[in-house]
Amino acid sequence: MIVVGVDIGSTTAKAVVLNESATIWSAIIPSGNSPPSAGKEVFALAVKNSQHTMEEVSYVIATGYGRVSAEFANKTVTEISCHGRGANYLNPATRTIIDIGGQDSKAISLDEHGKVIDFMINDKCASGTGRFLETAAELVLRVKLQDLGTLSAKATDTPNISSACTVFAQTEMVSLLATGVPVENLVAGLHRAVAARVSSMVKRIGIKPTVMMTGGVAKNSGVIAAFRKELNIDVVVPTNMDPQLVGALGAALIAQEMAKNGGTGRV
Amino acid sequence: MAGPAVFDTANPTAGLLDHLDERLAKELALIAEAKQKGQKVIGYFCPYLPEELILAGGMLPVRLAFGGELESSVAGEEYLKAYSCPVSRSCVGYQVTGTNEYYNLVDAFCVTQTCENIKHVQEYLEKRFTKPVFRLGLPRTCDSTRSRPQSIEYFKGELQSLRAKLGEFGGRPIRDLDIRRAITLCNNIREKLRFIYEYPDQRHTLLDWYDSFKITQAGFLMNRKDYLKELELIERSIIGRKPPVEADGKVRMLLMGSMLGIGDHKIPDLIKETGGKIVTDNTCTGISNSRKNVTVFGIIGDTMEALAERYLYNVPCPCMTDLDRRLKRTSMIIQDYAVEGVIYYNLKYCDNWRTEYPIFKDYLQKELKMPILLIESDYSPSDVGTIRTKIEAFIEMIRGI
Repeated sequence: MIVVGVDIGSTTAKAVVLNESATIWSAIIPSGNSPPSAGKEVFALAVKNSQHTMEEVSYVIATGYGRVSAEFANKTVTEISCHGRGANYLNPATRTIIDIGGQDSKAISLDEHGKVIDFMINDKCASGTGRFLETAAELVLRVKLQDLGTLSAKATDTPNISSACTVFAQTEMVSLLATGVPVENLVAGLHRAVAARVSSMVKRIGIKPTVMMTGGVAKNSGVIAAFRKELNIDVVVPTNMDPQLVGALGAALIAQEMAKNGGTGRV
Repeated sequence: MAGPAVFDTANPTAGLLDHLDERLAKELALIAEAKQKGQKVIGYFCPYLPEELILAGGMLPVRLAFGGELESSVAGEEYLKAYSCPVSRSCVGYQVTGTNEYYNLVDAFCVTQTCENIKHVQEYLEKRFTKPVFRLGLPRTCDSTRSRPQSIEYFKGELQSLRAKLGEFGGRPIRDLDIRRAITLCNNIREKLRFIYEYPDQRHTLLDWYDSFKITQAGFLMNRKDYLKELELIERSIIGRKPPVEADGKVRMLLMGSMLGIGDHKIPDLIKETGGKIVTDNTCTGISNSRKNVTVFGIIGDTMEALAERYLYNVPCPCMTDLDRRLKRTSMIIQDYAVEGVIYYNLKYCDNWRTEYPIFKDYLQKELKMPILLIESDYSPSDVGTIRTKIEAFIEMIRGI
């Protein structure tokens, strides 16, 4: 018997397969222009990776903004609960989660049992999200998204990017480039801008150690460094798992619990 | 256990609002008819305004607490800034679009000086749309009757001047006797509303909040004497009916915050769709309107003072300095209705509500261990997805998934 958690985000769809002995298989694909089919596809891919068959799947939970269209799921659960569960599983000392995905950012506060006690979702705009970094890197700075971390490590200075708006921040970067500011420094500035934006939200729910960062942006070591500086506290990333998968893992863990409870569960 | 099978026990409130709905559908035509006969229609926005004074002057009060319409809130941007609250933008917007039939029937407006935005609404109604506007000044400091007698004095003076202006506009001075009669009518309405809202008790109400809220808001528009008859009809038909015994497993929510206007369903609907249910509210358009009667002591009692006392202390509006009282009242509501979670509705750019949120959050979380969720929104449907996720996550948090 296996259970599956599927996290259909704005940018990528993720799936995690769990068996009874807590072995984990996963898959990540771009959401493309059809989140419903991306969800189905990533679900099938993860099951295939696990060498199991679809018939062996006993329970599926869908999460992420595309969860509403996941007809294959037994149940849907929000990203907040899933990230909370996933982070608690990976590191039970986690009390604060910073999740930055493709299109939104979240701050989640957990109690000592791993239960969500408060949360915030940034719904203002794309500022402080993966999309913000992506457009700035690829359209303005002409560097690859995955190189941002190593680039910012070489920065000699961190220029101030003051605008909170994605569009205006890009204008600001263009003029900084024109004055001869090196790309590495601008990347560091960009990371600080993201950390500053999201930190103000995290501070509102209160920061308690251990702080874990999840979501695709957690793969960028420059952003992690900027958060450590901004919050003046250590920020950890999952060590034995892709941080992008934490939501899907949480969904799979909740699915496991539901399957044990005969599919009724508390939700 | 079979009782007299006069109604559907599975759905004990089926059809209960039909008569009211039918009557309300005729309202516009009836107001137009009354206007033809020379009766004046007075539009107002805010529950700090004692409608007893309008009724006593033989005029028809219409509380223009409409909301939820994107078109009018955008139309209002022609005059008000885009970052004024959607309520104020709509108040002006309906004048621009001319699409709200109730607004179109209004002969004069009464505007209470609550916040900056409403002050601008009043100025535009007067200067740009050349409507007669009667202002009602409001003291902001109203901590308690005893500590602030000067607030009552000031408010009483404002009410007296409104009374004079309304009398002049209506063509006859407003007599004390007429005010007493209007007070009796409005007190009767308040009592019936409280009864209906809380029947048979606050923790197991027969009517769900959504119906009670609809009933309350019908009273903003309907001829008040007819409205009282409708309430009596509902009261008679609910007595003896029992709410479903089994718990429905839904999370019991208190909805508080910015004005939830007639037509502003977005948040209440999302709460319902995501597995919660509003059991009561603390907004200026809900149950607070039926709070507390106007008490005039005997035949020599001062009617104006009685109105000032009732109206100054019973509106949950953050433009006032009575934060402590509002915190306490919120905590009482939470206990009375066995609330499990609070949704704090903040209409964007309603600065007073937004600024007080951290204080409410601290108070509820620390003093009452009560989960609270801030929802900032406006009349555009663009944020439905995120708000749904927020409320769903909030419900999961309360249930402890």
